[in-house]
Amino acid sequence: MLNILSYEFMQNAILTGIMVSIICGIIGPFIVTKKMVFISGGLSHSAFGGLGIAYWLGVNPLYGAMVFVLSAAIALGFSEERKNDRHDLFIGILWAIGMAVGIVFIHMTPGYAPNLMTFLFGDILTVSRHDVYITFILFLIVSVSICIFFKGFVSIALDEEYARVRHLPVRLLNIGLLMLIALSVVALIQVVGIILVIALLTIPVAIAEETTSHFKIIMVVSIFTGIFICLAGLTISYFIEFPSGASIILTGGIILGIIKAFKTMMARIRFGRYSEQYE
Amino acid sequence: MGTIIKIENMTFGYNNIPVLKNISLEIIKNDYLLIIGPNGGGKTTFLKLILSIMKPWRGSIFYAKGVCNRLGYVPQYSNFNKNFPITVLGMVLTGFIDSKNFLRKYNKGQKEKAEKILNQFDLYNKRNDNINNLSGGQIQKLLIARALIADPVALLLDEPIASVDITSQINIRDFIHKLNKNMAIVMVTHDLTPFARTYKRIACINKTLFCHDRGELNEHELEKVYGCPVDLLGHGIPHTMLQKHS
Repeated sequence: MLNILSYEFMQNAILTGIMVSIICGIIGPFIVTKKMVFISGGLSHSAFGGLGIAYWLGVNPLYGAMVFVLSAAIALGFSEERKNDRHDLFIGILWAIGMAVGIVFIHMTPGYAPNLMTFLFGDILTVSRHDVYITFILFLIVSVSICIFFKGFVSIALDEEYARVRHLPVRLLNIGLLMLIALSVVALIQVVGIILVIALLTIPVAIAEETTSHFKIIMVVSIFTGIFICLAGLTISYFIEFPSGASIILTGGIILGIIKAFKTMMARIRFGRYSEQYE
Repeated sequence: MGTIIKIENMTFGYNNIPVLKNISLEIIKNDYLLIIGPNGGGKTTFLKLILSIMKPWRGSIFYAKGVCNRLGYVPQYSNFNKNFPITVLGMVLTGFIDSKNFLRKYNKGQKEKAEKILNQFDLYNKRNDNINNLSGGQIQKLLIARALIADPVALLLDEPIASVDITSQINIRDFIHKLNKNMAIVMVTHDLTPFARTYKRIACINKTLFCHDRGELNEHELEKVYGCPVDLLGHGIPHTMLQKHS
């Protein structure tokens, strides 16, 4: 068991997994309570465009993804500001166009087509030392910003209108939060891939919400749940050679299912089953 | 009497359709202004414009020095994220957050003040409960507490008694009346009766605004604003309150 830790790829995977879990635990509760899950999905899929272009240019795909997702976040922030009801339409378009751009550029890349599956579903075992450093920087930016602007982000998540009444910089806070989500998405893509990013942002929070209803405690529980899920999924994928991203997500899904089922059962035992009676 | 807010020829609307046209109004210190009007007449919009939640298309709003940052707002209770995991105490404390202190932590004095104000609203026992465990009436009280905690110079309320029982209605009315000694009150309401004894002015809003000092109102005039017959119930209180629109 311990000798698997001596492989560098395993060390990279564990370090990345832990940092990414902390990022998810910090930013996830905001995404869930502010109902930004669809936005996060749009951002992560738009990253594919950046990945494709970066591959075509021959630079590290993470940088390409970062540029793309950050610009998408800023564009979304301004579109949200205008308060048009067509916000979700914009997200949907961003989602699809990002994917299309990515596919076109990967198609145009000469030589063999890079493994699409790695981008879409991630592979934490292929993370390089350099990627670990990038993740660490992203982790620092996200956690420090959330600590500094915590009250501001809570204000806009709880009651944006009142935040405006109090003359908080609502637009800047909104765009800032979107940019932090964008950076988190970039970090997550290595671990679970574009398609599964939403899962890691939401499953730990959903599990945490089953146990407590205090925002800060939800953050802490999400962080530890995330770390557990990542390491457990990683172990499973190492020993039975399952794809790592999917193993991580499925571990989380099974835990969430068990907790939900257990709580429902307890409620049934305590309050009895509901039954309709007719004459 | 010092004017604290002066609105001049303000026009605003949604999707290129004007909702409010050429509105002018002065709000003075210790004002007690009721705002009435039919649904869709622009009452809430009017409050939001004063609170700078939205910017007017045309016209201007002047605030006396120090007023702009010190407006209290009690929204209709459906307007905020009720599923947000925050305690009653935490929610009241958010009333302190403004552009200058949102990077700092709450200090001890703020926490004590929050507990004191919750006590006034019979919410002290619920201070560590989650906000989604409160009833509609309790949330209404919580919203008033949040608006008052930062010592506003003017309090703007949107239907504060629409979702509370009679006892709470009377409590809130008396409380607002007491507050009026220290701050201006601007209140949107469909139910004039509880405030009939205490109000100073009434503004009728339906695209345009007519303001009446305390005086005579008859059903004819209300009918003009609402566009339909209006019943006024009198319980030993003056049931005519407004004068003619000029």
